[in-house]
Order: sequence, then structure tokens, then C-alpha cells
Amino acid sequence: MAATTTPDVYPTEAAEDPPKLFGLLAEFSEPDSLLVAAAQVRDAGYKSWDCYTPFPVHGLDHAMGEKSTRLPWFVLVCGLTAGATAIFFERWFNAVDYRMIFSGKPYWSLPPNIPVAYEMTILFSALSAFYFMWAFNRLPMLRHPLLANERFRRVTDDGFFICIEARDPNFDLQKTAELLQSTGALAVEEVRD
Amino acid sequence: MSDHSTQKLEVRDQVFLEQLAGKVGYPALVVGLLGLIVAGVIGFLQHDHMKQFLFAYYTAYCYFLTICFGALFFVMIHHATRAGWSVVVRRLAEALTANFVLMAVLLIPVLFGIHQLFIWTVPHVMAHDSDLQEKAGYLNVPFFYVRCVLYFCAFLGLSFYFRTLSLRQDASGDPQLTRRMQRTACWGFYIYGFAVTFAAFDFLMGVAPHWFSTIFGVYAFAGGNVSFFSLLALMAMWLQRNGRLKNSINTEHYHDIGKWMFAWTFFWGYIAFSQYMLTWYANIPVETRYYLHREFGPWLWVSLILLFGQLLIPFAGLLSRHVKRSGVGLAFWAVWILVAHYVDMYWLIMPQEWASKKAVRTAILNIHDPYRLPGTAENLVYESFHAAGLSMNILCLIGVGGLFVASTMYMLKGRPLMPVRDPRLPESLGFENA
Repeated sequence: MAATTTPDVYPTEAAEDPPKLFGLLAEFSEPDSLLVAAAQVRDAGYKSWDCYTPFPVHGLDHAMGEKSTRLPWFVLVCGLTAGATAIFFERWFNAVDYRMIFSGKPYWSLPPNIPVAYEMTILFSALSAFYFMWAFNRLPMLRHPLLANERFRRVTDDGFFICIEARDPNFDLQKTAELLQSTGALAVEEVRD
Repeated sequence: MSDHSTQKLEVRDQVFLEQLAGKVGYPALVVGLLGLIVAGVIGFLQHDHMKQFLFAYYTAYCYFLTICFGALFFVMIHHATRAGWSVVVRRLAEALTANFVLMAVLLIPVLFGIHQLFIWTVPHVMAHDSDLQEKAGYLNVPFFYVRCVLYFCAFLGLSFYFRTLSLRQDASGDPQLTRRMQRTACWGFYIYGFAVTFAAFDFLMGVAPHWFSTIFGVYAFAGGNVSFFSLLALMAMWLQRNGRLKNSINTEHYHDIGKWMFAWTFFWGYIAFSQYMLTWYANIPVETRYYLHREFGPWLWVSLILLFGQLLIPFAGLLSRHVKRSGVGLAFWAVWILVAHYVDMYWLIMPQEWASKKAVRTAILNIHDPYRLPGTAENLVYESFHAAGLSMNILCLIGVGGLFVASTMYMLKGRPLMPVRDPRLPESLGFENA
């Protein structure tokens, strides 16, 4: 834009590739219209899209057709592994590798070894839930194309947004824009990365 | 009162039991009385001064008493924490707490059979037992009666207070009543906590007077809560099947009840294990004897059924969100937990009937190998599982259960099935798990 005032030695902005299209952003005025729109986007068969709201909106998961998360299975496996590992090492240390008698108790018996196994199970369940949640959400995400968008700033206040991403196989600039317009969006605009 | 509040209902739902109360209540009353009478006749034919009957009756009694503890806790914690989600089912819990009246009446046969149930009340046992003599300041009959009166004053007072104010709000819609109940619930928990702890000591630990465990009150409280939430889920499902509260209670509420069931299941196991492990590790004869009694012969199986049936299996079963949200899944585990809680009560109370026999006590005192009993005592273990004894247990459970159902129907009848003008009712109706 300012190419004429820039000295020739510097490369002009126009010489760079135009920013890649990230997706189409639609703004809605309230949670209810967002829910209606989300259901229509879901029914249109889009996969790579998301809703952005200032607060949790009840029923949004259903309206978006979100599948239930795989996270619990990872937590279960990690928890069981940790519990089994604890029992294995307690048994190995106390009854095999370095046998000692404490308080006249047998080398090996379950009751006194349960607390450690229990705590290990809880600890690794909690840690795995935390870190797999980060991994599944691709966190930490240090930059995102939407964060540069002027209109999107209202998402922390009173704006409700749907963004359909260009990488979706069903994405077609014109048709997708028409769909978003027809759902009652206040505004639809392109987001470039 | 019911007509009065019907006109003001803003809820589009069937919130009255109407003829359903009588349709279930009267048969339950008849079945309950018949069950107790038949069990009493069988007990009379045993020629043991009604001892086995009393133990069977007492097991059933404690089963329902602990469920009432759970119901009262739920009502109070609801107010103390200003819970929003649970308003739609709170009236059902309030009706269950009103059953403390029934429990007070059903305590009378127990007080008549006090010498059969509690060996510390028998003078010649006390005279030859130095361990028990140490506890005579607490374990004496007059003080026991005083404590029973105090417990029921506490339970009846608290349950009456919360239920009355809640029913009054149905008519007036006054939000100040909610604030009053909230304040009372907070300091009321001191009364509740002491009453439940000592009631558990007296009623459940008192049958094994040599034993002591300070955590025992929490144990009984946890068992009562897990079965109360199971009963609450089943009550709500039954009402909805019969067209009551159809638009008010939904999957979200069942999901939360399921979470409570899961949490209390694990809490019960945590407390039960803490109690067991400390006794196991300290290895003091007067304490370990309690668990030793429960590891002989068939009692070992009852103990294992308890470990798997009340903790490990329902824990795994209720772990998933999908189970808690599916009607059939939640109903299955609710029934399972209610059965397991009876096993818990059976495990707490019934071994004492066997262990209080003189031959058994002598045999256990002279024992060297804990897993091998001398002949007489071993025979007596199997005797405690004979057909007449078990049939009395089942009949008493049906008997007290029938009266419990009839009383619940009576308490629900003619009043709205949920607090229709509670200021947090809209929050509860619109509740959703995030």
C-alpha cells in the first residue's frame, strides 16, 4: 500500500505472496443465533470449523455435532499402568531385591502397599489428563490467524463467532460465504494468515 | 394446601402423586407388615429368645436408617452450598428424611431386644470382661437411652425444619426462606456430624463392643450416602415412568446423581480401606479380632463380596460418563449398590450374632491358626447361614422396606414433588453439565 514512498532498496510488500486464506469468519449477536447457525454449518457437512464465544454456551457441543473425546481412554491406560508399575516395584524392592522385615510383617502383602499404588494411579491419571488435553488441543498455540483479526477482538466481550477454515474439503469461498450469510450472521469476512 | 399451590404453579409438569401414592403405599404397608409378622413367627420358632430375628430386623433397620442419614446430608449440603442443579430432586430427598419418624418408631423393638443385640448390656458378660468394664462409663443402658433420644431429636429436628420451610415456600414463594435454610444448614452440620458419628458408634459399632475405630462414623455415613443417591436415582426414574416430573428431571440431573454415586462409592472404599489397613498394621488383638471374625469360613466370602461388590466393580462400572447418562446403566448400578449396601450392613452386624456365642468366644481366644477354627466354632459359622436365619433376613428387609416405601409415599402425597417456587428452580430446570 505504501509502495510508492518506500525506497527501492527495500523489497515492497506487493512483491510478497498474498496472505493465504485461512477461512471465513462470521459474527453473531447472541448465543441463540450462534446455536442455530452452528447446527446449519454442521448439517452442511463441514469438519474443519469452530465456534468462538466469550463464555461457555450450553448446547453448543450438540449443535456442532462434537464427538465425545478420546481423552478418558488415555487417562485410564496411564492410570492403570502407573498403579501396576507401583505394585510391581514395591513387590520387587520389598520381597525380592532387598528383603527386610518391618514391624514383624510379611515381606509381601497387599494392605500396606495399596496407598502408594493408589497415589501413583491418581497422580498419573491427573497428569496424563492434563498433558493429553494440551496435546489434543495442540497447545500451547503461540499464534493463530484469528488473533490478528480486528473484528475477532470482540470474542472476549460480546461477539459470537463461527470460523469455517479453508482447509475443509467442502470449503468454497462463495458457497460457504452464502451459507454463513443465510444463517443470519451480522457480518462475514475473509481471514488471511 | 395442595389446591392452593396448584393454582400458582408456573411449572408445566405433573408434580403431584395423586392416586399413585395410595396405589403403591397401601400394598407396601401390607407387604411390610406381613413380612415382619412372618419373620417374627419364624424367629419365635427358633427358641432362641428371638435373638436371630432381632439381628435380622436390626440389620434391615440400620440399612434404612443409614439411607435416611444420606438423605438428610443431601438436603443440608444442597442448602449450605447453594446448589442449583439439585432443586428438582430435593423434595424427594426431603420426603426420605421425613422417614426418621418411622425410624424412631421402628427403634422400639430394638430397645426391647437390647440384651440380645448388645452384649455389653448383659450384666454377667460385663462382670467377666475387663475390656468392657473400661468402657462402662459410656456403654451403660441408661446413657444409651439418653443418647437414642438425643440422636432422634437431632435427626427429627433437622429433617422437620428443612422440610417444613421448603413446603412453606411452595405456598409463599418467599426467597428469604432459602436464605434461612442456608444459614441453618451451615451450623446444623455440627449437629448432624456429631449425631451421625455417635449414632454409628452406638448402633453399628455397639454390636461389637470390644472393637473401636474413630473413623467408623464416616464409614457408616459414606455407605448411607452412596445408597441414598442410588435410591434417589431409582425414585426419580420410577416417578418419570409414571408421568411425574417428566419435563423437569432430565439426563443432566441423572448425570450429577451418578457422579455422586461414583464419588461416594470410592469414598466408602477409601474409608473402609483406611480403617482396615490401620487395624491390620497396628495388629492390636482387641482391634484385629473384629476383622478376624469376618475372615472365618463363609464370612470371608461375605467380606470379599463387599470388597468387590461395593467398591471395585461399581467403581469400574460407574467410571464412564456414558453409563451415568444412560437410564438403564444408572438404574443397574443403583440397584447393584443398594444390594451391596445391604451386604455391608449384614457384614457389620450379623457376625456378632455368631461371635457372641460362648463357644465361639472361647474358641477364638484359644486359637493359634486364624484360618482354622476348632470344631464347635466352625460348626457355628455354618449355623449362622442356615435357611431360617437367611429367610428372616430377607423377610425383615422386605418388612422394614415395605414400611419405608409406605412412609415415603405418605410423605410425598398431596405435596408438590419438587419445590415449585424455589428461587433456584429455573437454574435447576435449565441445568446442563459443561
